[in-house]
Amino acid sequence: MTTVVIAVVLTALVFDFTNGFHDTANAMATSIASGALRPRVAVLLAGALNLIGAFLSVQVALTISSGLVDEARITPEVIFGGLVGAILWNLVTWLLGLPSSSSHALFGGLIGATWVFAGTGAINIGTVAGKVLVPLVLSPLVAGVVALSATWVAYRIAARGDGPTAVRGFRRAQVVSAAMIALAHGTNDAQKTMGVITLTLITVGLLPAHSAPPLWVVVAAGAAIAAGTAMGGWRIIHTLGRRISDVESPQGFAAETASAAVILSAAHLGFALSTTQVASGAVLGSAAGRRVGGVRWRVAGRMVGVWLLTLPAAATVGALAAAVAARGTAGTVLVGAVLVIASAGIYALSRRTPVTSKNVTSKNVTALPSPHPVTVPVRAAA
Amino acid sequence: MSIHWNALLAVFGVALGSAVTVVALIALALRGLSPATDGPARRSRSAIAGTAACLALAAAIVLAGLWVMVAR
Repeated sequence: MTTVVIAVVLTALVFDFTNGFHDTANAMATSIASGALRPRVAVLLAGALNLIGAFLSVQVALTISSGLVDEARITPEVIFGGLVGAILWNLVTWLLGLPSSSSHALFGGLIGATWVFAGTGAINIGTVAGKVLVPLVLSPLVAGVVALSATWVAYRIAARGDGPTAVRGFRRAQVVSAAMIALAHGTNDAQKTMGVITLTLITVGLLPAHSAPPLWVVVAAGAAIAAGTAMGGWRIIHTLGRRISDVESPQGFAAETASAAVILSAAHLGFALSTTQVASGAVLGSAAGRRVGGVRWRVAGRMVGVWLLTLPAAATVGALAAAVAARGTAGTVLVGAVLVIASAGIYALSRRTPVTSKNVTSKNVTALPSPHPVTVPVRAAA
Repeated sequence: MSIHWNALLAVFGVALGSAVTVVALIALALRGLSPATDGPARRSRSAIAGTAACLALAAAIVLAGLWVMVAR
């Protein structure tokens, strides 16, 4: 295995780590916000379940390693460039506390890098559109509609029961639904890194075309995403749990159940879904299902804007990085150095307004207003 | 370009059906667990059985979801 292949594998695992802490919010934001789980417990639980989930399937990994781009026409440097684009976009959106899609970032980076290195002919547009783009666009809509319906049903039924019993019960149920998402996230997102590493090994001839990921790849990818998840991406947890809507336990349970159902059914069919967009769409849908005024559309609008930017932004950075990295070892080292410096700078900026497990549920962390006071519309006990 | 519209429709249908069913079952079970207005002693056996059935059915759907993950 050459130095550049080792560098690509390590960079892929760094991406997987950023994917983990970027996406902890998907499973745990609503449980933390509603008080179903304490923040530290939630992220550790999510990390453990991500690790287990990584071992459950390789269906999505196969989609990425066989078909997205023509593996015969790219090199490890191209994949390295794509990963750099994805990592930087993940870090920038984490700094802003915006839940953008790590999957979009990865695909954007890879597509941009492949485009400048081998031309559009090396990108399998049909596979990208059919297996990636269309599901990525439709998944938040589907999750939103499912969550809206589930929330509407939950509140209609719970309104005739005892308020405190319902709140307590839904909180307990949230532990199960959040665990399901964390497990599904492990199966879905860890596979994307497995797919990228497998693709790298195929491009240098260490694996035959259309191979499934070897066991060491599954173990390494699972461990990286679990470690990242257990770190807790508090800035994004804060946005999903507090800034889009003030999440109540029936709403959180409905959103998590909808997310888990969409992710699981899609992963079963081999769609490389964005769990971030599914979870965010579900949070929006469930907030709207409770009452339309419960959604802070300004924050939601910024989030959707970032979704639209993710693919082209990651593609642009990926293309630039691949163009430099493809010039040889010096180019690869230069891109690696830029990545390290930029990452350190983003981390330093994040320390100016730290969001941690201690203040993640506080409303005073950001300057954004909270115009809609929360009411629990289930009937209080006599 | 081949977009698997039928598969996407299946994802929507399965997700909608299973999520709404699980949420409704849990909400019904919690209604059954709510204290009766005239005291817990008056909670009927049919209400307890209904609550247990709702929880069991919801658990079965969750386990089916787990099976979907594990069996692939």
